[in-house]
Amino acid sequence: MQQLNLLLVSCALLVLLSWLAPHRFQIPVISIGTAVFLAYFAPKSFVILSISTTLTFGVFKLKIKTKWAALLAICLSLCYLVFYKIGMGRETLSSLDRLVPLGLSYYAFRQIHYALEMYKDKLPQHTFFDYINYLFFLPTILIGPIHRFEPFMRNAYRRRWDSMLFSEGLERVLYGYVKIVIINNYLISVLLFQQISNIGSSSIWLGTYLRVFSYTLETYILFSGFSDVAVGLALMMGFRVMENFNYPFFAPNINEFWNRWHISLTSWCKDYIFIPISSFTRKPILGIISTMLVIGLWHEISWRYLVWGAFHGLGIACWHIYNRTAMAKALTKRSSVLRIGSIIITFHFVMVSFVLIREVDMANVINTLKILFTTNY
Amino acid sequence: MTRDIYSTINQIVSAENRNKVFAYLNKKYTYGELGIDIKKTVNIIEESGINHGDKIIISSLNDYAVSILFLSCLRGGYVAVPFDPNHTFDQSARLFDFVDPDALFLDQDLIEKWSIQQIEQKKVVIPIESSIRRKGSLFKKMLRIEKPKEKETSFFSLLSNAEESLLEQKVKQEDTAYLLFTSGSTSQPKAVQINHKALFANLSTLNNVYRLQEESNIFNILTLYHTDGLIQGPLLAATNLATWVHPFDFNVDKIQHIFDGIYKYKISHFIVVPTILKFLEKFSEGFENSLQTTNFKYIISSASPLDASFWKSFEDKFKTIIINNYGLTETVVGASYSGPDQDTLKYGSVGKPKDCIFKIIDENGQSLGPGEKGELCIKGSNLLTKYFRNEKATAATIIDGWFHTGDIGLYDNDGFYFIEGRKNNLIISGGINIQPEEVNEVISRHSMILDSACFGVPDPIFGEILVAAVVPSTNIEFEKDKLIQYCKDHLQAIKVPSSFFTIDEIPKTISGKIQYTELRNLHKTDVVTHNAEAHHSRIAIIIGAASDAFKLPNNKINPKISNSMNTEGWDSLAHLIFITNLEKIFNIRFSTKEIMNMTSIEAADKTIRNKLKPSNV
Repeated sequence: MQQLNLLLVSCALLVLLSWLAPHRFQIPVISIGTAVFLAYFAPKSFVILSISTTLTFGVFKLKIKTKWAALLAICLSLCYLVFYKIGMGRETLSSLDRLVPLGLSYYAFRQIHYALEMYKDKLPQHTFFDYINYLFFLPTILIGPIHRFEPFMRNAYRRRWDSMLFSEGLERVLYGYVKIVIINNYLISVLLFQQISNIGSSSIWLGTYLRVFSYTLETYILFSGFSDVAVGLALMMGFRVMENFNYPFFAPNINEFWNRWHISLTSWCKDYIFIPISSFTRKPILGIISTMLVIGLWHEISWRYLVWGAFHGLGIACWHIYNRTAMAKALTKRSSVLRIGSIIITFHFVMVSFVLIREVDMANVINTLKILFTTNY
Repeated sequence: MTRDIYSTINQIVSAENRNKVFAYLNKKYTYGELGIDIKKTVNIIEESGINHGDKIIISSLNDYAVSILFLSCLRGGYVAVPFDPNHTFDQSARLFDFVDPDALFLDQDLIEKWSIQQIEQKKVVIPIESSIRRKGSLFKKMLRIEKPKEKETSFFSLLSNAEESLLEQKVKQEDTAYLLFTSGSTSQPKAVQINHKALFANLSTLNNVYRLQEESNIFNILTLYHTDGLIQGPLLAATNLATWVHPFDFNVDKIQHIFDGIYKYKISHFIVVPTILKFLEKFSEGFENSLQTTNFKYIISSASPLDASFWKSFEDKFKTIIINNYGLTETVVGASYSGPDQDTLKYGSVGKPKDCIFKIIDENGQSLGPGEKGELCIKGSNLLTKYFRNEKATAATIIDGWFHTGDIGLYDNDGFYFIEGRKNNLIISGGINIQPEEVNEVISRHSMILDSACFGVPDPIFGEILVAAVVPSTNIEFEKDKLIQYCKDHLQAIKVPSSFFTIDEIPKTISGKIQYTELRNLHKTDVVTHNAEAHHSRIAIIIGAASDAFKLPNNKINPKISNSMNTEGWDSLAHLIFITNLEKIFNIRFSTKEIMNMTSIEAADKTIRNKLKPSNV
């Protein structure tokens, strides 16, 4: 909440300043405001972002081949990402930074995206200031989405005062705030928690099931709420950034779930992990597993996230194998009952995977799974 | 909409309109600024000793300067002569002789390029300096560094010191408003002479057909040295207090900015030539919704034919309405319009005449009925007065008040007109009229050339392109590069032929007339035919491979689709199957970078084409 309120107040001020400033200074005002915000609240992150921005842009100005420049930029981004993700340098962080420097996971991936698109020679002509504006964009610093450079450039060119867009943004911020404050902080964390506590030891299975259920719901509501706020704030500044969620719990299979959950990360991984690996090896299953492992490790470099990623990777691989069978073809024209059934199965697959990241250690994971999958409780 | 230049200028200088935006060019200009600058410019012209009816050449790449000068000429009763800065030294000297201007307002560098000081010693010559402020002027001001004084004779410095003139009424409806060069030959240039009455009559028609309002924002990035750029740009905006948007010139690199500009500048009307539409369509991936804004109303296509199937498919793809405007420099801008309403629209036609009348005549001058092909003639208040100093051309084209267009057309039972061809060899390439004889005159003067003939051939993007058939001289070695450079030095860039081919003899009839049909057949070489066939068969194979991978029937896959368009079945796994299918078929192996870039059928085709090039095999 502290982060959310800080973000909201800072962005409100930036929204005002960015529209009041003379036209050509409006976007630089946002970048400068972001830099001031970071420098004050998360100085470590400010330093890392400033240096890495300069270096990942600068390497492409060196007289070396583009592929080596891209490799250097990627290595640099990976180095500082892994350095903090494995817990090194944690003690130097401010209270707002918590475990890793604020927004680091997001801007590291944005910089890698930039490097790869430079390698592919797909980016339009741009200056260092365009790149700064892209990376120092406050609405998406905190919790994504991992928006792309080219659409951002387009937005920067198209940007003009549009009352409809502004009101849409305001509405999204409100939705996000309601999701976080009312649905998550009150309905789930207080009311549902009380109901689960009341069950007590009368039904261990039901209590455990509801605890995992509420954790899954809470994760989605909180994350999508923050995304709504980010998308809304960006809209209020005149930028339409990519959406991060599209009703993931209505997905009829696990492949579809990942097309709807944390879209900016999954599409990033599809473009930069899945396609290169499967193109190189001509083994799509290897591409799927690798992609899901990276998604897992992006969240946290730990065994539990590695297992979580592998679990989803295997799930998607199985679905792809199944989808090419005669049985899948026969069930293509399935009824709405079958569709509802597949949505419920998919949801529970995701819920089970959340046990892996909810519990503090592997013993607790095994214990929870044992309760959920046996009838003794 | 104003009816004459007085009401237009009065409207511009009115205090209540001073904050309205006149134009978005390199920067924003308000009607307040424009009004003051017009008053001052009229004063500058008067003080220079220029009299009512005198001819003033305007030649600048500064769109705002051209707008002020053109409107000031109209207001002061001077004859404006917009003159393309891309003219070569030869052309400018010849055309200056022809026009015999009384004053020249032109870019500083053109004075040197065209050696104006030597040619026009007795004329008023006012250079237009670049209005771009040099960087670092803020610190110079702070440090009080004296900047070098600009020449006080240059246009913008004169403007900053000039008094605002009293706007007295001087102009009559019959007075010449402007001269605009159109396709002519070297020996007989053609400058269309338009009076105020014709100009404002046509502006009124355009206003009614396009339904312009004060809130309209007109996107027109055509050159100001073409009637569609000049009249349908600053003038159409000024007469409606609308906004003219021309932040850059058309260029393929700017296509993304064109699409984004529709939203950014709240565009309501977009003036184009079909070539621009073809480019927009070609590079539209990801921009298909760009015209879906609350402000956008119509695309207006001018200057060259718009074929029915492309017209319809463009409208369907972008969910918009195109008005096809048929007109010539001689009709100011438009004479007939197809669209925007269902009762005025017929795809492939040039619509129905508006505020003028059409007739189709045979070779004896007799009017023809529906469905009969003949020459299209126009009568109305929007016609030219005459061709300036070209009595022969005037007499040949204006007969009993009817203007003979040289276009071959017909009309149907519903009264819609169709253009089927031309009586003469004139070609329209990318909306620009080119008289092949003019180019031929230049080429045939070169010592390497014994004989030559220029003609148009169809082109999918430009409508037509100019081709030159040349017979090399036997005593001098023929070098194509030298000939191209020679053409560049003596012709505007647009008039340099797109291709040259050598032949032993120009095919001619017994009476000496060039046989253009035979020349066109000769130009269709085997290589061209083979290339086209190879392209079409390769695309068909790629579509077949896509069909297998995406599990879609062939007819649901066209070369324009891409995986960013949420194409059914084109997910990441299907993409890989598609790639491996192609590798097997063409017996090639794509690199990871190539696979990542093959995001559309066209991109796949391009990659395969590159890999199959002999040097890569």
